[in-house]
Amino acid sequence: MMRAGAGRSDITPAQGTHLSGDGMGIHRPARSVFDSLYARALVVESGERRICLLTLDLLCVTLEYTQRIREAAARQFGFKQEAILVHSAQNHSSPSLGNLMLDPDFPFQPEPDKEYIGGAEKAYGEMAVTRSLEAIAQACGCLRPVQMGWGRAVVEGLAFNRRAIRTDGAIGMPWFYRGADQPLGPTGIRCIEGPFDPEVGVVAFRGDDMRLAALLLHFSCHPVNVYATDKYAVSGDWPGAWSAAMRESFPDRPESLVLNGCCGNLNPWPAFTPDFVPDHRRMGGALAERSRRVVERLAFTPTDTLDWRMRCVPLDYRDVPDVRRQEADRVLRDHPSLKWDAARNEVDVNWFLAASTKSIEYCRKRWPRFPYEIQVFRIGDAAIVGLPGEPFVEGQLAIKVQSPAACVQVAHMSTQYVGYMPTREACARGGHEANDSCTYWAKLAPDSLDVVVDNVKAMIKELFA
Amino acid sequence: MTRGVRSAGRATPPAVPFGLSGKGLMVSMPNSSLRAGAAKVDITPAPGTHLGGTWGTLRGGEVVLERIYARALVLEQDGHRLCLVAPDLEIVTAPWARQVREGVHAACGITPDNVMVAFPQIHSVPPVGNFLIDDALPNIPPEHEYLRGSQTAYCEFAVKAMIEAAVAAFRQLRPVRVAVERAVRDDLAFNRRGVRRDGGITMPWFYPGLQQPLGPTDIACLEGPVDPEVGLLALKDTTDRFVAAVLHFSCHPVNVYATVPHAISSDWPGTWAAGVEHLLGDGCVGLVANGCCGNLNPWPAFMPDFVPDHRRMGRELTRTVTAMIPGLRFAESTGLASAVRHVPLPIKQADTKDRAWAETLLRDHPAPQWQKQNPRQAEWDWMDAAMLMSVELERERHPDYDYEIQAFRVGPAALIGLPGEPFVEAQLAIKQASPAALNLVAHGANDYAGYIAPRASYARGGHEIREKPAKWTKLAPGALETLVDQTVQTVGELYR
Repeated sequence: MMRAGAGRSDITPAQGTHLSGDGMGIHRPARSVFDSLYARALVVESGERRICLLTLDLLCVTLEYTQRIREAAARQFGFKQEAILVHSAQNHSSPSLGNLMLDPDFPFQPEPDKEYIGGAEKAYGEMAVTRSLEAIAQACGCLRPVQMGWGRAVVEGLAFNRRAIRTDGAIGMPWFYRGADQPLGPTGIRCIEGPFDPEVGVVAFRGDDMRLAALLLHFSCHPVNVYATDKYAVSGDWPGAWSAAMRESFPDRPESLVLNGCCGNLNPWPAFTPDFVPDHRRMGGALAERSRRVVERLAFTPTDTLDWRMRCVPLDYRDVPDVRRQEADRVLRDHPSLKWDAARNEVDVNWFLAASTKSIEYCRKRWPRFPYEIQVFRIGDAAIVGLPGEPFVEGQLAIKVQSPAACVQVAHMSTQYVGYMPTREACARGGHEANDSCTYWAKLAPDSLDVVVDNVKAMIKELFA
Repeated sequence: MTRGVRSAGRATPPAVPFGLSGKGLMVSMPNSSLRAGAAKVDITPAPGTHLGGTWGTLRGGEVVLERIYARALVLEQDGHRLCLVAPDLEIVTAPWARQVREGVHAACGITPDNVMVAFPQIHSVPPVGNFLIDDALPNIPPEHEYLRGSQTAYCEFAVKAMIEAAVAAFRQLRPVRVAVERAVRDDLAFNRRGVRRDGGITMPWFYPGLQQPLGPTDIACLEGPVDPEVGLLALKDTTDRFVAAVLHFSCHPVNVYATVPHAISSDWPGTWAAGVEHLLGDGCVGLVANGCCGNLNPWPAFMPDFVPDHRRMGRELTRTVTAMIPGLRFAESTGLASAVRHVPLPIKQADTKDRAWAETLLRDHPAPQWQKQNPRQAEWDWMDAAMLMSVELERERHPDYDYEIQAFRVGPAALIGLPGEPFVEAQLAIKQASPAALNLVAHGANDYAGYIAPRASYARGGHEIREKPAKWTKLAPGALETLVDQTVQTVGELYR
């Protein structure tokens, strides 16, 4: 008999905490709170096997923090470490759990007030780890027999491919715009490069008493509605709004964990619709409306199938062109510690980008091939896939199509931040996610996504054989 | 093989028209002004005339939602003449298009290579030409000639009207200036190849939300892009009156077909053309160049309760043209030129077993077989066999299909005619490589060649790429890539 329990803990940052997700080292101290942030945990147990899914309303989690959480949870609650999946929603209106912008080996000793340049602040990290373990403890403390159901809906109009092929052949990122300013639309765009994933996925756990114990919700889109409109507000963006709306939708107030899928190239605004206003609550509400319909139609069945696999796949790095490497070296030689732009009162952008490029070299020194961790959990008929970084949606779709698992939910930004994983074709076109500056967030070789997809498919096949 | 490039103008220093950044525009300044004339002639069919878009049954038109027209535009500069004939038709096959081109040549002196007959593929009007069953396949009684695709009486009527429209346009030639503009919108055409969760392809259809509250959950994603471009080439005479507007958007015109099967309608191309004619004043003729839309439909895959509406679509496109008008900057044409290229494209060979099956079936049942439960509908198997053998007969006559790429240069704009229904990926690639400021691609030009899909789509199959050949799906993989390459070269020649 399968047992499940869920818990959550508030991880809303204090005022002034740095909000992560800006690519140029810009300081974004929290000034207001639109929504509280949470760590949510789902624990599922069958016989001797026990798994934990931890979702964080945060931008990212680094390997250092994932390891701390795994070690502590394994020690305190008896999990195997590889049976703990730590997923951050990539919410751009929240702090980060660990430095994602520069490699941990990059020699950078900032003043305390400049700590944010690395991407995160330790004080917040300590609080978030403690609270995350509290959420897991809650989940472990309320395990009860459950049946499981899964379903899906499809929706469009909430996530959009954000790679626009411009008329000059380059890649641009569409932004929302005023119709009065651009009456003919963004005519510099020839077409959109790729697809989106319309799937709204639901896995539900229901007790023998008919009470909903927990929901796993899946959709795929950058959570940047609030970031794009108020850079200093704390918010759970659409994952938080969706989770809150689902919790309030049912009398048992089930804990609702959102698994944000591969959305490296998806944004929540359309390229060609004038006067579109990003709104995380509207988006969360629309997803809740769809997923409620799914829950209302679910058929629950008992299951005791619980299993997992973890693989570490070596990935190659991009080759940083000599010209770029020399340029980065020159900037860092002239300013080995930090170059400050006094006029902007921010870190100098060129220095920051040079440090970002140089970070690839440090990463490569540590790991000649990048050890990419893939996790796949099997819970009944559902496959839950944890992938680090920001794979493009094409990878997720390739995993889902013709999958032996009836239900597949992919959680990107799991375990650690590795940057974008574009398709080969996208790498050739460039753009923010595969930029010529060779930044730390665009460090993996063009074949990486294909390698990861092949491995995930093999792991699912093994679990569902 | 290239038949040749003809251009007007003498060798003088290159000019950059309309303040554009060049993009390879090495043009010869013409000696005289561009002259243009435009006209339209009613080609609305008689009641009961067979409408295209289906096969195996007579789909007689019963009610007229709009009159349908053959519109024509004639252009002349330095003695070089071009003609665009844009009839509100589903299909015009090569033999009938040839009659139009030769008729225009005889009446107006415009060489047939410089006459483009571009049909927008409206599914609520008659086809002109047998695009389903080959004329060489015997045993189809005259009263069932529509099984081949069309009815001769209407074809003859339409051809005559198309020539009349061209002649009328020719008679109205007068000096004009030209302007181009582009806009983008993504809410009117949608990629129609849904990748199913099992890896196959399905065509999304509009659906009531009440019956499908979760949406079409078997669709994992859509296979390809759309082309959001709305293009306008406007021509104004010396009295500041609009002579013609060549309009470009890309989508299957199937709003009415999908909702009122027996209605005669010009669908979105007709309502758009009429809307622009009204907008730009009496006498202006709106000619629609419907782009490569082999994989585009006018309804979204995942939006419940969407109701196809050709009038709304035409209105919206007209609204976009309205927004373009203030930005139009009219100038003298920088040259008129044309190029034609014939590209041999291999025809798919039927599987040996399929061919044997078709031959056996047609030997046993040479005449059309009718469904018992629906005597007005031919047996699907019989139609399949007849369509397969039609391609086999065509392939045995010529193993390669003679694909004609036609390109006109009208000042800053390139008007590109491509037979058949290429997928939109082709058009996007052509536009991306073109040196023209505006590319007005007209699919369905001069012949019906069937769907033309990218290589990558063949593996997935679907309506447009079924295994058993038919005239609407007859070209071998690689055709699209070849035609893109050849079209890019052809258009490039016009701007060299």
